[in-house]
Amino acid sequence: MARGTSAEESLFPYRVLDLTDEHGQMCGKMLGDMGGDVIIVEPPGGSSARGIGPFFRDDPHPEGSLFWLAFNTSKRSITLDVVHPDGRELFLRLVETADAVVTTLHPRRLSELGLSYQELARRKPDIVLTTITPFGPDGPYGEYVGSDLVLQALSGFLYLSGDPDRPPTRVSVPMVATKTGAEAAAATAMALYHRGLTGEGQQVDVSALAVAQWQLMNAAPFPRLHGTEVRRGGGYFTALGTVKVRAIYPCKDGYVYFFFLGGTPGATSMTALTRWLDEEGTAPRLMLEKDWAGMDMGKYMYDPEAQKEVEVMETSLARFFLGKTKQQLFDRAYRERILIAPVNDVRDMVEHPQPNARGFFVEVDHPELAASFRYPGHLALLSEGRVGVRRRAPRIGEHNREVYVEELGISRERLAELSEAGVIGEAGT
Amino acid sequence: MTTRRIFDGIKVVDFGWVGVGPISAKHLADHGATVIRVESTQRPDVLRLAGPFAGGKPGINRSQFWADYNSSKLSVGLNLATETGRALARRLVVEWADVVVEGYTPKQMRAWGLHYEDLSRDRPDLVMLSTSQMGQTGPYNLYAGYGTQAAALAGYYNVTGWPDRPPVVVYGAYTDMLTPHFNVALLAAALDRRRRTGRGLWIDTSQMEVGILCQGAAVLDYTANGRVAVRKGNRDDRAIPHGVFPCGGEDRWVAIAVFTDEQWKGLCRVIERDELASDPAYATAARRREHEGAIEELIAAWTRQLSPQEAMARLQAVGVPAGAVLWMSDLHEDPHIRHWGFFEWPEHPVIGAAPYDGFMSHFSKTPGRLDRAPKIAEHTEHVMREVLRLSDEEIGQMLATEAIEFPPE
Repeated sequence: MARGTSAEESLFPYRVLDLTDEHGQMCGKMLGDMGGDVIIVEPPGGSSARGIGPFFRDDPHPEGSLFWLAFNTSKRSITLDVVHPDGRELFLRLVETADAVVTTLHPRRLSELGLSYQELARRKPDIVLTTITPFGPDGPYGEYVGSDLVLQALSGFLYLSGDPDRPPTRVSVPMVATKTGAEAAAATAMALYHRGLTGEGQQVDVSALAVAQWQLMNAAPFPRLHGTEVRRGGGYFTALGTVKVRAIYPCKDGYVYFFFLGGTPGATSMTALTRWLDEEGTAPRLMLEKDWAGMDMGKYMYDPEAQKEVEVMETSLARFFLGKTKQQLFDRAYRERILIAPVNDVRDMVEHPQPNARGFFVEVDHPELAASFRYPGHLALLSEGRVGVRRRAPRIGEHNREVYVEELGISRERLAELSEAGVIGEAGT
Repeated sequence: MTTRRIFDGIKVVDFGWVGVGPISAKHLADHGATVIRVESTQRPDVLRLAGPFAGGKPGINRSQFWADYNSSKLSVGLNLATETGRALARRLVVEWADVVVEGYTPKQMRAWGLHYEDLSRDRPDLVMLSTSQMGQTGPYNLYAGYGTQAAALAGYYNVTGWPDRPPVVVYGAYTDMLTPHFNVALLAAALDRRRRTGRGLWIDTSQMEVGILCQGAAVLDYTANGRVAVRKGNRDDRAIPHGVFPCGGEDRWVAIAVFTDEQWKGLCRVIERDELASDPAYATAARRREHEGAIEELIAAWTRQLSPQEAMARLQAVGVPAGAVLWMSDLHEDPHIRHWGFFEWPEHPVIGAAPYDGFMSHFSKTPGRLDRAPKIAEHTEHVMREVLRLSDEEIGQMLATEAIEFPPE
C-alpha cells in the first residue's frame, strides 16, 4: 500500500498517540495519511468504534467493522488500559517519544487519570495535546452527552433541512464526527507548526458543536440583520432570500440538483439551459425574454412578485428534466456550464469517471478477511505524489510487540506480565 | 503584551472565489497570516451580492455572507482581465507571498499565467492550494458549480429525507464548509515542511473527493458488501430510539438519541414510563426496534408538554443524549454557545456589528483573533505603496487603465 514519495514522507514526520473513540478517529487517519506515525491506543479488547457497523458481510466482528476500517487507515494499534497505574506509566513513556496526543477523553477525565496537559508536559515539555469533545471542556453543556443528531440539533443545522410538514431531518450518514476529526487534524498540524518555530507545545480544545455550527453557511446572521428566521424547504433552496427556489427535480432515472440563479452567479447557466429548452420547443416565453445577466439577485430574491415567475420556470423545467437521464443532463451541463448536478448515490460515486480518473479509489488488501475492496484513497494530490491511505487499519493490538518490545525496549517477559495483568490485551504476534 | 499567533509573518495571496478558497484562507488570517484577497468590482465575488445584508439592504460592502468568509483579510482591487493587473498579481506572489490559495475552475489560473507551474519557477518554495469542485485533473475537472452542486455529486442529498419521499436538500453548500478543514491541515503541514526543507508544494483538493471520503463507512459498505446507503428520516442503524420529537410551541423540536440500554432506562424514567425500563420486550436494541413507531409516540406524548430546552435538560441530567433543535435566532441566545464564544462581533464600517462564525478550536498559548472583513478594494493603495512600492505616477497610470481599482464611491 505504501506509495512513498518524498513529499508524503516529509509532510508530517511526527508521532501521534491517538486516544480517540468513534467521535474523533478521522483526526488520526488524516495525520497518518499525511505521513505521521499514528499509534491508536485501544483499550484491551479493542476500541468501541469496532462495534459500529456496517460490518464486512454483516458479521459483527470487531475486525470487520467497516466504520473502524474506514477511519483508522495508516495507523498502528496498541492496546493499553490507561486507567491502570502501570498502563498510565506506559502511556507516559510513550508520550516522551511523541509529538502530539489527540484524544476524545474529556479534559476533566484526563485530569482524573493523571493525564492532563500539565502532567503530559512534565514528561514531554513541548507536547501538543488536542482534545475533541462534543461541547468543549466546560460551560453549561460541558458535561452533556453528544451524538451526531444531538449536535446537529444544537448547532442549528438540523432545523434548516427536511420537508416542512415533517420534523427537521438530518443527513442519514453521520457527519459531525468526521468533520470534527478533520478540524482536530488541522488544529494539531497548526500547533506542531508553531512548535517547530518556537519550541512551544500547548493544549488545543476542539468543540464538535462549534464544528457543526460551521455548516450553517449564511443562515445564522439573518435574525439579526433581516429580522427573519431561515426555515427548511424540503427540496427547495431557502438560503438566497424570501423567494423559494426548487433545487431537487426528478429525472428519468433518479434526481438532479438544479436551482435557478440570475445575475453574475447564474447567467451563463440560465442562458445555456434556456437555449436547450428552446431547441426542444419547451422554453416558456418568460425564460426566452429574461435578461439573465442583468438580474440583480440581491433584489430579485426578496421580491414577492418574483415567486410567481420562478414557479412558471420551474414547471417547465420539471417537465424537461423528467424526460432526460442524470448522465444526459450532466454531460451537457458540464459542457455548457449549466448548474445541474446529479443526485448521486454511493454506487454512482464509486463508479464515477472523475474520481476514478484521478486514482481516488484504491484497492486495499485484507488477507485476514480473505478479501480486498476499494477505499476512498486520498485527501489530496500533490505536485509530488499524493496524500492518502498508506496501510489498512490495524487489527486489535497488532503492533503491541513492535511498539512495546522493539521500540520502547520492554522485555518479552514484562510484556507477558502486563498482558496477564490486563494492562495490555493480547501481547500481539 | 500580545501573544504570538500561529501564522504571524506568513503572507498569503487569496485568489479564492465564493466559499471553499476564501474560508480556507480566512482561517489562516484569523491566526495571524497577512492575507490579501484579490477582488474586482468588474467581477465581484458572488457572495458580495448575496444576503444576509446589513439592514436587509443589498450593496457591495453590505453582505455578511461575504464578510463571514473574509474576516481578518485585506482587499486589493486588481483587474485580472488586464495584462497589467495580471502582472501585478504575479509580482505580489513572486516578490511577497509565502502561500497562494485559489479556488477557480482549473483552467482559469493557467489562462492568467498564474498556474503553480508559472509561479513555482521563480518561487520553488511557494506553497499553493488549488481547491476546486472535482480536482485539477480528470475528465470532468472543469465542472463549474458551487458547493451546493458538489454536495449533490458527493451523495449528501440522496441520503437526506424520508424513505417514502424524494430526497431533500441539505441546507447550504456543505462541501464548501467541509473541505477547508482538509485544506488548512495540508497548508499547515506544507508550511512546516517548507520550514524544515525549504521546499514548496502544490496541493490539489477536490470537494467531491473530500465529501466522499467523509462517508468512508458507507463507501466500504458498497465496495465490500454491495449495499447502497439510503435515506432513513431521523432513524439510525445503531441508536434506538433516535429521532426528532415535537415540543410545546409552533415548530419546536428536541432531538433524542439512545445508544445504550442504560440510556434507554434513563429515558423511561424521565418520561415517567418506568415499567418499560424493566419490560423484557424493550430490553435490547433489537427488541426495541420491533416497537420503534410505538416508542416514538410515547416519547412525543411526553415532549409535547415541554419546551425543547426543558426536555433536553431533563434527559441530559440522566445521561441521555438530547439536544434542543435551535432556530437561527436561538443560537445568539444559547448560554453554551455564548460561553464558548462562537460568534464574533467585530465592528464593520458599513455593516456595523454582525455575527461572524468564530473559532472551532481554542489554542491555549496561541489564541486566534478575528477582525472584520475589508470593504472591496479597501487596501489597494496600501498594497501598491507598501507592498509593491509603486510610485504615485505608476499608481495613477494603473488606475487610468483600470488595472487596479480604488474603493468605489
